[in-house]
Amino acid sequence: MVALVDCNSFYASCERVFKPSLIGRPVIVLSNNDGCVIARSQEAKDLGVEMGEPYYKRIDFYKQNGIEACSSNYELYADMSDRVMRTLATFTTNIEIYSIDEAFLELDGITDLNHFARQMREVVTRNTGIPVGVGVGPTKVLAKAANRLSKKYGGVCALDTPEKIAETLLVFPVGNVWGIGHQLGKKLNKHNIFTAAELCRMPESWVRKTMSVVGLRVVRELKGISCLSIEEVKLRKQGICTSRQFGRPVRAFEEMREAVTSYTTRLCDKLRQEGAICSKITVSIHTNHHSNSPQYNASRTITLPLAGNSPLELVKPAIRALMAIYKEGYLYNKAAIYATGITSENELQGNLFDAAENREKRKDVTKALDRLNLRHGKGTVFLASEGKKGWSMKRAMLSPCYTTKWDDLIRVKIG
Amino acid sequence: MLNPKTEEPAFGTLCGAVACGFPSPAQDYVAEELDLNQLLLKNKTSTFFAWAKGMSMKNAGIDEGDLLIIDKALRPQNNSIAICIIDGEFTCKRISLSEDGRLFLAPENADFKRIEVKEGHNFTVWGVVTSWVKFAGRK
Repeated sequence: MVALVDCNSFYASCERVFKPSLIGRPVIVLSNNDGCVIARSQEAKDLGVEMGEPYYKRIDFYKQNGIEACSSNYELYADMSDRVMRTLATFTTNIEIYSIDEAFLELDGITDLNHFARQMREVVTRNTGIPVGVGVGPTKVLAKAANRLSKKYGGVCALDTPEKIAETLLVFPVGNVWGIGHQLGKKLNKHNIFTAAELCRMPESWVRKTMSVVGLRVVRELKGISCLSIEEVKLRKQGICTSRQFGRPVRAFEEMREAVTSYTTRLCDKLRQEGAICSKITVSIHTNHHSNSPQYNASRTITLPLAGNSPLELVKPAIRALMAIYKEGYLYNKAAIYATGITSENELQGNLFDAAENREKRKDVTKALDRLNLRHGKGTVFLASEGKKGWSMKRAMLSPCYTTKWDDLIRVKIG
Repeated sequence: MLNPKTEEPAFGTLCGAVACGFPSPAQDYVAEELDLNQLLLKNKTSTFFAWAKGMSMKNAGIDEGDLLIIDKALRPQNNSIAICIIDGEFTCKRISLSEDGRLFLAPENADFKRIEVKEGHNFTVWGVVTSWVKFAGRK
């Protein structure tokens, strides 16, 4: 059996955990530069706020309706996501983190799935304060369908018998099936197919012809035949690392910075090759422990404001990490950069469309930089490492980084 | 020396200058040092930090500026020091159940009054304070 756990209005929920005055009120979260709405609490949805609508167009409407707008605080969301996922990982040996707020879990040998799912839901919410919905089914597509229905059933829906599945598919709109979507749904409607059950009744040859082999897989999954295994999609490594020993001991910060910059650039290459982005990087520096000179090893992890794979996004934080740990007077012989919190590049796009747009731009810049370096040799273009102000985002309504910065912790009134 | 043009473009001097050593994971070098997290954080995923503000828990030993360590996963017991939300506001108090079953948020300072949690209140326990860190010589 497969469970899909999905955080309810994830970004808005993260904001609420640390700002309880937002509980029960409409909350929206805005994209980078406070451009448009990328997340809405249920209350905001009920007021008719649309996904993607430009913020500036309806500021008055938000104010009149008491809608609280927050700039996106990715540092907070990444940390909370990590907590949710790590909590979920205690329930199964096989978890696929599908996006920042969704994960598939393989559940085997569990007799009372409903009870198990309820427990899981309770523990995640208790540990993190984030409400989640759980859908369970024999395949990923069915788990996803169950998850969609979970809201109606107190947050948990288990399609664990053929009867329940049949009953559900009979009324499940075909366009809502995972992997079919609105467009294809419309096309199917023209063929008089309105529900998932109707789609399942079509001959497979017709399905293949009309919806390609991908569609066929979806239909088989609806029939309870697993075609999308958790391993298959769970391609992500835990971490990617670039580390080398230096050719000679290095003492100066400038040189260390150069090393960290180039290693990070290299790490970005690796990430891009895998179609992956990371949300955290760790920089570590080491002296040669075989030598008699004074020893020093240190590392620092930085959570990125926005997961990425471009040197434009990663080098600056890496240098920041280096600055935090570098100590003068040692002979360093090694530096290492790790990327963790790895997810697929594609996963991000659905959530943060305009961030994705920026990423496209960055990709072009990255390519240009690569070319320059190729033509003029190493280190010709030295990224963002000067610590200049750079491209700071406009985030006027940014909440504090409650879980990742000491100065930003909640302040609890005692009195 | 290597010709930079044949070297990988993005790779810097330090590594390119001499034949490189074997890449080895840095874990090898991580010293086993005492980690305060180990002592203070039972459940990493459910532990959060907060700064204490105010003096109502003085007699319990919590002063302004202390770092509170809070575990959301723990269920509050009678006499737990907890972070509560009452009517949309955070507060840190001792949970106190009276013999007749009434729920109080009790301060630890004679200058403050205890609050009785009644039906009309919007009340939840956000997390249980498991320890706090005091900084010597800091105000």
